[in-house]
Amino acid sequence: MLQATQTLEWLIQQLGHTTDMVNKPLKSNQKEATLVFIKTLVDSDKIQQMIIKPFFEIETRGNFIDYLHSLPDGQEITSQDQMLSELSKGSIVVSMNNYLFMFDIKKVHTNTVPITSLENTVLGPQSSMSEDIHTNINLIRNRYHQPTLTVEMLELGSKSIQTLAVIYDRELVDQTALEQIKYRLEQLNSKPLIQSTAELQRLINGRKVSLFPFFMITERADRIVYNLSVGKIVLSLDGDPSTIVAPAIFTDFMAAMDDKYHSKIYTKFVQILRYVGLFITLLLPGFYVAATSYNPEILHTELALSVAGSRVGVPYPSYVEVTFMLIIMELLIEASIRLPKTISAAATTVGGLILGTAITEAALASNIMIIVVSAVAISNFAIPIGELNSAIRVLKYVFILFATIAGLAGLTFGLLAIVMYLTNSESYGEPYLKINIDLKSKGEQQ
Amino acid sequence: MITAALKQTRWISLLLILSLLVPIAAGCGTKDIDKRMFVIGVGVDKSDNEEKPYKVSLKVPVPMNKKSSGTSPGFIFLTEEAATISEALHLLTTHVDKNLEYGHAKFIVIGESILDEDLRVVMDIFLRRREFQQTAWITVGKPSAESVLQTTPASDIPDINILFNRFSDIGTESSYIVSIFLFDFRRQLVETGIDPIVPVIETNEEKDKIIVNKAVVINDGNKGKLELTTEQVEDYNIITNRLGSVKFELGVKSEELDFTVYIDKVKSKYKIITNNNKPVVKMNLELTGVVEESTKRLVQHKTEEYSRLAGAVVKKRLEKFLTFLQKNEVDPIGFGLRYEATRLHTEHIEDEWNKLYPELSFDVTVHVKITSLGSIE
Amino acid sequence: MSRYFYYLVVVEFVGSILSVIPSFLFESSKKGTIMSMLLALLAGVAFIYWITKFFNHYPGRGLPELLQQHIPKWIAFPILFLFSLAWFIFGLKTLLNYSFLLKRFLLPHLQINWIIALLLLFITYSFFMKTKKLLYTLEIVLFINIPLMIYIIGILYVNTGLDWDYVKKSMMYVYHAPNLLAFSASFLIFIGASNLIIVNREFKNKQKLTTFQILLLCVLGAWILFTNYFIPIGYNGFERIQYINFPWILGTDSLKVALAFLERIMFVFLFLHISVTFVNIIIFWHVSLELLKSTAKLVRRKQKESNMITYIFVLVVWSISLIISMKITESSYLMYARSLFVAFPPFFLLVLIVCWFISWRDKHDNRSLKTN
Repeated sequence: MLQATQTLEWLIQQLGHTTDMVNKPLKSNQKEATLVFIKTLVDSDKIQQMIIKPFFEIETRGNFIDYLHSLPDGQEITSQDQMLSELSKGSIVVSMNNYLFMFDIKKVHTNTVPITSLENTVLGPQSSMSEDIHTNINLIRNRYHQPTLTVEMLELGSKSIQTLAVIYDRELVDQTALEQIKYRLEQLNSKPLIQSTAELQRLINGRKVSLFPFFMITERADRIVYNLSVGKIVLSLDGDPSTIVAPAIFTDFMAAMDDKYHSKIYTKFVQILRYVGLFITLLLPGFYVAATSYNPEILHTELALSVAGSRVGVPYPSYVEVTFMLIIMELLIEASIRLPKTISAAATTVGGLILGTAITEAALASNIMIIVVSAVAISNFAIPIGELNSAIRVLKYVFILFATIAGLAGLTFGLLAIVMYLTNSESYGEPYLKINIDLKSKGEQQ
Repeated sequence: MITAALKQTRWISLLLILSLLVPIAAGCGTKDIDKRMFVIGVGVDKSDNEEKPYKVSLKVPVPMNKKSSGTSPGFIFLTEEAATISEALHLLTTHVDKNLEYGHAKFIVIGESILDEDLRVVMDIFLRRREFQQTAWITVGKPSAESVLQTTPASDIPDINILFNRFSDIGTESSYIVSIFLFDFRRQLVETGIDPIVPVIETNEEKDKIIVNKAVVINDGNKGKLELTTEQVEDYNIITNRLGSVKFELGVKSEELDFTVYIDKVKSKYKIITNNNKPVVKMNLELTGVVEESTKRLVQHKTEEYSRLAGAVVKKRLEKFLTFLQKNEVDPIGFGLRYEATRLHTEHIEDEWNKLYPELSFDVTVHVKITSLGSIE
Repeated sequence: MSRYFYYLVVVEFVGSILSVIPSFLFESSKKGTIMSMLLALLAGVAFIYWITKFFNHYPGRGLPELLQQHIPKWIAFPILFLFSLAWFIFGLKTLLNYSFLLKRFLLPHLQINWIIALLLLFITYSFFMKTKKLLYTLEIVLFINIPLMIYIIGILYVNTGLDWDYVKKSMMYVYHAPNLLAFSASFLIFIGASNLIIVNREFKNKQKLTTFQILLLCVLGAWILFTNYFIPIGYNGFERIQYINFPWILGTDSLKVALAFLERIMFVFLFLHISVTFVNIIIFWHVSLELLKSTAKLVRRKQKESNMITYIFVLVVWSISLIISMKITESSYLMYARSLFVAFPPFFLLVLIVCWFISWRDKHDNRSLKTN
């Protein structure tokens, strides 16, 4: 048992020099109590209502202590260090008659529920996760009214001590995956600061270098709930609206929540379109290199002649041209992420004029090349999930490399190699690239 | 765990090695498209030189930047004489500054002068080299292959060769044109039961007109050739069902009537019957059409009679054509092949057929169905 | 039967079209190929039936495990080693044909040993994959390629360039005695199921081969044989088809199809060829590698050895392939391939005998257990 006054003194001493610490004694009739809290973290209305008002309304000391015992926000006190850490998270310590109580009354400013900004759909729910973990869990639970939904809280980061919630449906979850994830999370004790789930994802990936994403990061409440219902595990970090869904396989990344909200035929059409976009963005630059430099007999005569015609005067070989144009396009995309809104119009003009007209006029690239690059850039963003998007953007250069070495055959080998690599990878026991046409499976994976 | 990391590093090091291969390979094989020229037509003639009997001509389009050039097509014509065709092709690459690519060679024109040679030798290079498309068109050039290739008719669209339009289904459709692909030519050339038929392209003095309406049957047995007139080409097309959707006009003349039927559907079948002591080819044709033009007024209820008249005209024509072929000992329709295809193989089947062919009689039954007499009577 | 079984069989069917098998069929086209094909169809379906029936008795176990259990080590070791060698040779012959084709049509500017090195670079990655992952790869590659294949074959049948007279003429040669080379070549189409000796490890549920499935395989095999032999004849003519080196490639080149921006269908066919043959080689060599690993396990029981074996295998594969590629030409390849092909049907008979022997021993052991 901790000595109340001693503990209090120790706490005050530890917190001492910061101006937002409050050490308030309360006196009423024969009752005495001391409150210690950090003002900027706590909800002062709650203190007023929960502790101060009843303090002055409840007559006897014993009654008040019983009252304090019965408050639901109470936290268990294990050690002085734990109390100190809880204080820095927004708890209040009440000391009365050698009894020590601790209550969690933190005020959260980040609990607005925003609208989805990264993954947009036309129909369906539009709410996204907020930055506060309790609000998030509230949103999730409100859409998944199952008693088997389990939430486990962990703490990450030795300096920032963020709360991580591991959420899963106890009956449906994949046990091996769960154990693996928990094991990996435990290994992270040495990291001082984990601020976002993206960073977390990289740390528990299990691979030193990875290109393809093995977790899905989403901010949509409906997507999270859907994944929970098929047995996936959701990791939500306090302070970050993006949540991790694991395990994730390749086809998950090609599916958008829209697929569930539109008619079946339209959905099939859009899904096929996405795969077409994927192949275009991966293979078209490589195909262009192969068709112009290695096997020009593969194109129609008229097309071959017009490609040759448009390349008249371009001083360097086609793979240099392709890479150069793609790099400029990548720079444009990167820059537009960070542009302040006032300059974005200028950027469009710059991009359009320079990339389009001026380069062909100066014979630094061919017309057809511009078309190829634009098609590639646009179809890249047909892939719904951002991580795969980025992976594909890097991958197309690999294909250009293969096409440069061995033309069309090289492109095919590259494709086969990527297929082999993907099927060989696993995301927590689930094969990454596999065609799921088992009729006995639990349900669609999305 | 170790092997997993090893596997990762191996994969990365493989990739690094691969990227080192780029400069090596980049020097080896990549030749940009604008350093290549695509030959779209190859012509072979007989030259006057004894030691260099082959005269090879090429037609090469010059790629033009669509924005900067006008609409006139640029073509380059190259000619070279050599002892063999491949030598000529090699020499021809020295005429231009770029690589000559034959992957788009759509025309192989054989000059009239070279028809007397064994075409198997002439065609050998086109079959052996991997670049030549099997779907290139084989034609005979009159007066010579070179002149045919050099012809640029006034209406030529940039980059598209007018010959291409003539032969493909996209351009002209006419029953007087027969076209043959390289693979078809080859298989007919080596096959004993059929002789290849090749269209003849004629060009005039000024080299600005192309006329295609005759054909030549190549008899590889005697190494000879037989010229077919325009009408005979049409007969051939009718018999071998090559018309497809092409329509043709049938003129019917008798003492009182003179009208033209526009036939749009042809079905032709034949059987070789040898179990009687007189072997006969029984051919059945069905033609469907409408009347297009007539000098006299036609009566509706006499349609049957008109059909019969038309049928008789076609029958006479075809029988004349078939006997003409038989007398000249050529067989472009493939009766020999059909004979071998319908009887079990024996050692002597070829000799049997060779003895049989001159004795064959042709029994052609033509059934013309005139569906309408046109808009007026 | 699990769908992966069908993939194994089908990939061999499709791969046979693209290998040197049609050339051998045409070589004896005037000497009784048709009879040989019919016999091979019967033999092939029977082979599939017996070997699948055998493995269905032992779900989840491959040949090495069964050998270990029922056969004394001094017999099992050479058997496994021989089988591993045989599968290695399969893969090797396919690889060589593959590289000849690549050199001829797609990569004429690279020397043949560079081509083989390039191929081996990618194949080596597959040595480190597990059987299950290999099956997934197979599924995906077939998923992309089978529709293409059906499309091309469909066009081949329907195109006006196909002259049935030539086909009929070739059929008239039916009354000739069967020919050993043609029989072996056609039989080799059906050996896809023999990969079960390793892949059966993945079929952990009890599989069944119903009569309907057998009939289906029979029909499919017959159709593939028919297409393999007669379609090129229809396009290339009959007389001199034995002198054509790549009858299928030439055949598909004879199609005039307006396909988007591609000039010749031959390239689509080549793409198909590249993918399917690649997967074919991977499977063969995977089986060979697994058999080799199991010989090591037979001799010593340590786990570490299996990775060593893989590295040794990689080394052996690279060196043998590169050395052979430098010495071999297309004609010497055909010569060796001919003798190899003739040796294969007896080899598969040996495989069946081994299987039969194991099942006999198994019943014998069970009987002796029961009597005890």
